[in-house]
Amino acid sequence: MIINQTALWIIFGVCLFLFCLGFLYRVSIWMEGTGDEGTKKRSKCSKFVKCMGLFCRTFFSRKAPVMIKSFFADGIVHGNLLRDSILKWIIHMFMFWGLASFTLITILHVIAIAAAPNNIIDGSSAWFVMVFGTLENRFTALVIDLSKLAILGGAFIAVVRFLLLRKKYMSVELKDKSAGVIISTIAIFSFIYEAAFFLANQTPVAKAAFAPAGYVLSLILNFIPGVNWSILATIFFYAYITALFLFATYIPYGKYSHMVFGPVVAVYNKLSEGKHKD
Amino acid sequence: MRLDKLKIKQLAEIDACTRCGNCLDLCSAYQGSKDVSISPKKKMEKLKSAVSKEYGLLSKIFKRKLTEDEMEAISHAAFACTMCSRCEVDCHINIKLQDIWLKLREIMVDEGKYPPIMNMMRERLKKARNVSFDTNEGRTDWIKAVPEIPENKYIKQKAEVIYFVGCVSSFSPRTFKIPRSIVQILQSAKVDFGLLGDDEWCCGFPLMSSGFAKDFEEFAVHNIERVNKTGARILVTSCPSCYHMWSHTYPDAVKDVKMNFKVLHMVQYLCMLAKERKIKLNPLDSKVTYHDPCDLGRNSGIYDEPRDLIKMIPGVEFVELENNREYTTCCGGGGNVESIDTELSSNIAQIKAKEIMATGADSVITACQQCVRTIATALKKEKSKIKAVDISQLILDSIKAGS
Repeated sequence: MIINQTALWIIFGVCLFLFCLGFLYRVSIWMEGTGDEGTKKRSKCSKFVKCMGLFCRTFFSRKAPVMIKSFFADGIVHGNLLRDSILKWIIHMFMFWGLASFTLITILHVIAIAAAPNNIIDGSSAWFVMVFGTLENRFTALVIDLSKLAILGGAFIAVVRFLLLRKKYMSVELKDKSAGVIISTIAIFSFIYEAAFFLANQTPVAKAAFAPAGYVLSLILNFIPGVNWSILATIFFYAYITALFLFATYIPYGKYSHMVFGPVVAVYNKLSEGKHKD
Repeated sequence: MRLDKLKIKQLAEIDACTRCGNCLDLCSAYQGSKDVSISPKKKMEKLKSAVSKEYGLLSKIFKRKLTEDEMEAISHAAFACTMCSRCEVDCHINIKLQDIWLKLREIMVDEGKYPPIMNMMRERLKKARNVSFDTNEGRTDWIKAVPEIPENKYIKQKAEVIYFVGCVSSFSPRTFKIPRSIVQILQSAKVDFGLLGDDEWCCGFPLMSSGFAKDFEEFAVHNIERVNKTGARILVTSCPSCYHMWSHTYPDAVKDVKMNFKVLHMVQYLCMLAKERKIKLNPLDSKVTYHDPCDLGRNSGIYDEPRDLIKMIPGVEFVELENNREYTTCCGGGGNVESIDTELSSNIAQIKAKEIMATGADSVITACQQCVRTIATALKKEKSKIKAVDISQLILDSIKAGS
């Protein structure tokens, strides 16, 4: 695989910058609203500082244990959804945590590849580069493969549920279904990258088997004659990381912003629960 | 559209809504109309689009604004809501939806996009200080039928307990039985209680819930000052909306005038009297179910006291409705929907009536005059013999059963 490290840093840097900008853009929209103190006019900055102050006061108050508990129950386990429907919870957990871990491992993978001196990853590389920089590392191979399997598994169950659902209006909107299609496409790109990588590097079964889906796909693709696997791996590597980073960058700007803000709001509202109850 | 009236937290909640559709099937307004456009899910979607058109980058560049039709659609959805908060209970990310719906109505009022009938109600309240067509002097006309009333008709300068009757119970003959029962119960318990008479103004709930947020403060200040004057220790209300206003909205909205008394709903007070054995409950032979009024149950968290009271009456068999406590469905009488869209309100009530009939009870007990009215009408339409009764009537029947 021939990777241009400068190009990787540029793709990663630009996407990270745009993601942060999107986050600020979204928060700036929220700051158009009224603070808890009433209709008193304040600048957006002053409102933001006040909100941060409120957050810090809550975090370092007696409410902190409730906040931490709620972070696990609502932000991580999505307890409300579990209480409502196990099937919907399974779909959500597969796709949400699949995407989260897939994005995280991809970021680490890209940084490790971009940081490898002279583009060489071997026994003499730093531990970070050795662990995350190659799919021949068992941990990285396993996480990258399982997270994608979770995404595709979740998407598959969601499609089956939709087909069997009598009340179609109860399903999520088309624009949210499109998110599922985009994420699944990125996952497939990444599987092809995995398979092509194993074929290009002649990765031994003992290592490749830690990415079971990628390994099985490599066995199938191996039947296609005359393919330069190294070039194919490079193409699909760029395709998948660019698509994933662009998708992540778009999140704070558009309709998918609930992926980030949903758990945050769930935790915050748990803290103010009971305010209007006796 | 003045979306800056929404709180920072509410704008974040609009972004956080996953549009999962979980709230859709639970919405009484949707169930009563089968119109998806008025469901919470669609309202959130419309709000999301409105926020994007008001503050979004692309809208600023291309100068996109909400069209008149879009505004009308938002207004229609906002005022078709019964404000029952059922959508809030099962929201996976705990969005405080009712607060958003209330704010949305305020915004619509600012924009002048609200049902014209709301203006009539507002003017009536400003002039007569009550929601009926009568003058406020007639507030205690219902008391004439109560036996053994003193000459002052309980309108006293000083009293230990003040009973805040509320507009519907004071002026709607169909619900006169409620204040009459309560007065007789308080008489039998020898409680030093008083009424405010024509000094009682509407609690302001119809204004607040219709989006006229500023107008209700005048009512709140008047009512608090008037009760403070009596030196009462406790204020009891038989109307859940009045209770919610007194116990939750007034303390938040009126900072300058302090309430020198405790606020209780009648079920809490009667439960207290029964536990202290100040009222003697005698056996009744009846099978009853209980409907949780939205403002008392979901919006104020009072579920146990009415059930405890019912279970304290010997001989009464109690069965729960299929949807009870926080999962109860609306009776159709909330959110001023009854005056805006009579058909929708009636359809919601019919659904409730069918649920009640499935229990096989002789009576449905509730703790709200509005619920009694809507449920009784719906049961009549279904040609059911089940009676819709306020809990105070049941308690009075039990007290009288001994004499």
